[in-house]
Amino acid sequence: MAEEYTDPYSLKRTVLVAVVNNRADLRRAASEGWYRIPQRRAPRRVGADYLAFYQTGAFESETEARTVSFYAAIRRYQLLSRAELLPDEADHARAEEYYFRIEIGPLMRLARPVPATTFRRLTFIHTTLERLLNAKDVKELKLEAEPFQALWSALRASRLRPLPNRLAGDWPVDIALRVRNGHLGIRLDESSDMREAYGPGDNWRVLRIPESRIEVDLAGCLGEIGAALVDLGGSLDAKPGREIVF
Amino acid sequence: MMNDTRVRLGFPVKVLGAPGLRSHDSRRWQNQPHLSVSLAYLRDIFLYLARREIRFYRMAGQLAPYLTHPDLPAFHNQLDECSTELAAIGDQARQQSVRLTLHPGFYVQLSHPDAALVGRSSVELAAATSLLDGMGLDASSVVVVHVGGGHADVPAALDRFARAANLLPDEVRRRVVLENGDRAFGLRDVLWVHRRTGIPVVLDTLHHRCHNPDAIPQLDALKIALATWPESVVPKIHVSSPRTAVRTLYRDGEARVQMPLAHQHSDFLHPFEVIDLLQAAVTARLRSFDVMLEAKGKDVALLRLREQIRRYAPNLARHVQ
Repeated sequence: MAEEYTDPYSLKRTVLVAVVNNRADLRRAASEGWYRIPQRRAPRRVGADYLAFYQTGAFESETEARTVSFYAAIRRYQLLSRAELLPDEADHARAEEYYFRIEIGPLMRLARPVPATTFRRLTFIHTTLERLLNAKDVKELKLEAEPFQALWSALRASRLRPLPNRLAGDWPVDIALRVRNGHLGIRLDESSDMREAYGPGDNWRVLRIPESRIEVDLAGCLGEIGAALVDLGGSLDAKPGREIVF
Repeated sequence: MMNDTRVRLGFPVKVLGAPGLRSHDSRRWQNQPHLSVSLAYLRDIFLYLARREIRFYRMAGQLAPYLTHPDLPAFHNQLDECSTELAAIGDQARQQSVRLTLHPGFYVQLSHPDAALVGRSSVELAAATSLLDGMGLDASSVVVVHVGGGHADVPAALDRFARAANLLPDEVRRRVVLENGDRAFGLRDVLWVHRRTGIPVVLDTLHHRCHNPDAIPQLDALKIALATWPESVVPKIHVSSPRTAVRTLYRDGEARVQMPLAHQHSDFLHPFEVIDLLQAAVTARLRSFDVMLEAKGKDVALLRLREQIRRYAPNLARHVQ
């Protein structure tokens, strides 16, 4: 398969790897040519040249379980409400929520499927076509120097349930954690001398962590997050025995 | 009395500080590129801008691929096809207080003697306006143009530009702003156009250094340009530094050394020159304005400049974002 893409420019094409945990979604992608991502829970990057599918353990009886075996060229994005997207489920509780409807070309099978030998729980991965075609394990797909991903994985490893891309009032935050008295928002940005003209929304506390610091002091960042969680009455998601040490 | 001069820094198009972030769908027409894909990229860029606290950004001129290509009508309806997505991306820009602008390429030439080319330029400007309107963006989202070629008669070219600009529909002309050139059409010339059309002037400081036949000092040039903008719209200027290093170019397998040219953009900004300019503007209590940094280092150059302002001019830093 890789031989088909000797053009280095093509290899630099970007790929969004999405997690598929049910047959209906994959069947729809194959037969109707589209896949959906809730706007509220969309990853930091949805834009890509290709969409690839990581099939979870729900595909247990198939050889594609826990692998990335299929991908397709992205043709178009649309923002649609769930009711517009799935008219048969118009009375769904989230019928008004918006989704990215990603229109794709025909599914293509990777000559060498990419298995997840060590990872079991995945979120979206943004990678390149070159990596997709050459990776021997899903973990090789992740682009290096991705501080967000490093912090995200560390929070998950600490048994927390981070939520991506939320709004704290009018403030966009990269990661949100539920706490007893509201939410802790985390913004991965560098400090600035210019202050915001307004504060974050009610019941939000926002922590600013520079990406450059995550790269050199992940443990310290986790400690700061842990201290903030305690200040706010504790996380609603942490499980005993796996707390962040700070 | 409090000094309220504020300067917002911005960068154009490509994001270099986050690998893999695309500015637009650059696929060739055979592969059916689409504005909706560009808007998905733009949404991702906005999240990056939020993390970096960057509130001024120039979108790619080719955001809507082949939108006006006369031979490819299949691409002409992209704005209608993406009305929801355009509105959503406009909402996101407003939510993040990001000013968005466009700068079409040199193919937009309202001063050209060929009426057909002027017509094509008008179509391009109308399309750019429709794109910004589709996003629901206010008057601060402008479309920057150059006068174009002099065609051996600068006064005639200026006259043609002014006439063509005045024939643009109001909603299009309101978005258009005019940049001074680096070889012709200096500040005096674009001011001439401003007086005849009302089109505000974007001062390009490097162009002004390269072509300043009236020897207008830079701060005066800045004051003059800012005064051409309506009170309700924050003016913008372009700032860049000239390349000073030799470049090695490879052609047909052979390496050739090219001397730097003054009008070429450098990778990063000369921090002390920018600090001097901004400090002078703040000291003179000029109205707030936005600075589009035209450096090859794009967002990385912006972030570097911010650091340098903080380090070398901490009193200026609170005026700069």
